[in-house]
Amino acid sequence: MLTLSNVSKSYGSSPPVLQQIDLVIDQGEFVSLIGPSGCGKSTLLKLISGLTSPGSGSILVDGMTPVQARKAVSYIFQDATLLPWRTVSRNVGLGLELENVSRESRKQKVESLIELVGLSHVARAYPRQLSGGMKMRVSVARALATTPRLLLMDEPFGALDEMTRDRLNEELLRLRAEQNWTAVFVTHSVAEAVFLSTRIVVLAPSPGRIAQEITISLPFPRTSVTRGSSQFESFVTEVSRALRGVHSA
Amino acid sequence: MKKYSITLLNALAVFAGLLLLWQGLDLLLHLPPYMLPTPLAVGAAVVTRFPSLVASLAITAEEAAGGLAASIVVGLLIALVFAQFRWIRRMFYPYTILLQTVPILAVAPLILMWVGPGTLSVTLVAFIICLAPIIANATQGLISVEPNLVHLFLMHNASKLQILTRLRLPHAVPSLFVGIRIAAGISVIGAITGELFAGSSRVGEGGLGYSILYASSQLQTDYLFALVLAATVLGFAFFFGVMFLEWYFLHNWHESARTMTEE
Repeated sequence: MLTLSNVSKSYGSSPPVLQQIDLVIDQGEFVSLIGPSGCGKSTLLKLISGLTSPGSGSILVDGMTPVQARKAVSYIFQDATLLPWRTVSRNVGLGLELENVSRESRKQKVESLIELVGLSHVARAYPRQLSGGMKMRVSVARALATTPRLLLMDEPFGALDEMTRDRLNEELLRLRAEQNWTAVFVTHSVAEAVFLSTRIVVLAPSPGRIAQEITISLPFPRTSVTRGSSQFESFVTEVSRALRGVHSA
Repeated sequence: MKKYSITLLNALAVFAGLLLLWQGLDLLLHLPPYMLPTPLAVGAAVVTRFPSLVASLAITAEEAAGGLAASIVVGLLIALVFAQFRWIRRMFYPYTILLQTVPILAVAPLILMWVGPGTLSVTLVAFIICLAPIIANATQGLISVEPNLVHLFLMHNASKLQILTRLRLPHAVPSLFVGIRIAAGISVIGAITGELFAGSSRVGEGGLGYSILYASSQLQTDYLFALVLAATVLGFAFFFGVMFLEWYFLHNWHESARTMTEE
């Protein structure tokens, strides 16, 4: 699905942001990138999306360059990035509209997705009328509307309160079970990473590099009950320890 | 709603107080009417010369509106070019600031000399004075789009045209309106300034600027006051017209136009 080999990136003459990254992500995986700020997690996501190009090394998405593969990729940003002049449903339909999907099939798709994220009652509202969590749901629905095979998420729930974040995490896994996309997810939260991921990649800073990879073998479906399990706790401890090692280095 | 009516009542009370003071001052000091006519005399002038007052108002309104409309079209086109080509913006943007600082009083006689007296050159003066705020604000709106929104469009393989029409242009509407609001106010000033120099094809008939000159040369101070009043009314009408349009287009989504819908 996604292959990064020997990828390095630096801006100008400053020390590299990322150095010699080798990472293979298979179809159906949910991979979280976690690490202290300045370790290049967001840069890595920008590279996979083709929004920036690597200094050296190669990135293949479905055997194509990141830019060629964009049709199969959706990106969810840190903030909801909704267009304030469009209603919820017109925001969800934006990607389809830009890809020139006909009005009828757009309408159908948009309606079903809005229902899927539980926003049917505000389909005709404008973003400023929505709470932070609702805005993020719209953003998720918009990303899924174009039926991506790869979903890139850059701390999408970072600005939300913990309750809302937990609920959206559960919803995200429910959507994944229904729709079968591969995910690369950037986060600061260990608990969030453990809950969502099949694998966690711990990055170390200056220069950004992969320090450790931890496979999260918690069974699916994961629910709020999962968070209380001792298995969950031990994964959180393991990832936290790995992160501490990276910090003190 | 109640809050607004109280504000309105206050404003009206102040206005009435000022009129009374003015009238009292006139009675007390026995000023000659050509120095300071009483409010009643001004009122009388408005009534008796209403048709010619309205005719002047209409001429000025047309010139100001024409200049404003032209400046919106041309200013937006220039802003579009500025937004699309950074090197052009770098080369020419300083000149729009120059345009803003050029005193219109100095330019108006030049334009009249080149274009000749008449409505067209007055409209041109209004156009020139309106252009700078439109260009500046529209350009700002077009280029200040959040980078992640552009990224979002790029991720969906949007064309440059799609990014322009579905992202940059709608995003620029609120700041374009800021420019239009500024321009609307000064378009009236521009038109009147132009008229001060433009003269008229018929003696005694012309826009507000011309009529103000004519009335002052004839020492018709009561009518002069009436004309100033008319100019103020015109400025107000333009301002509130733009405010209404702004509210109409933006009240659904933008902060700047929300206040009118609340309460």
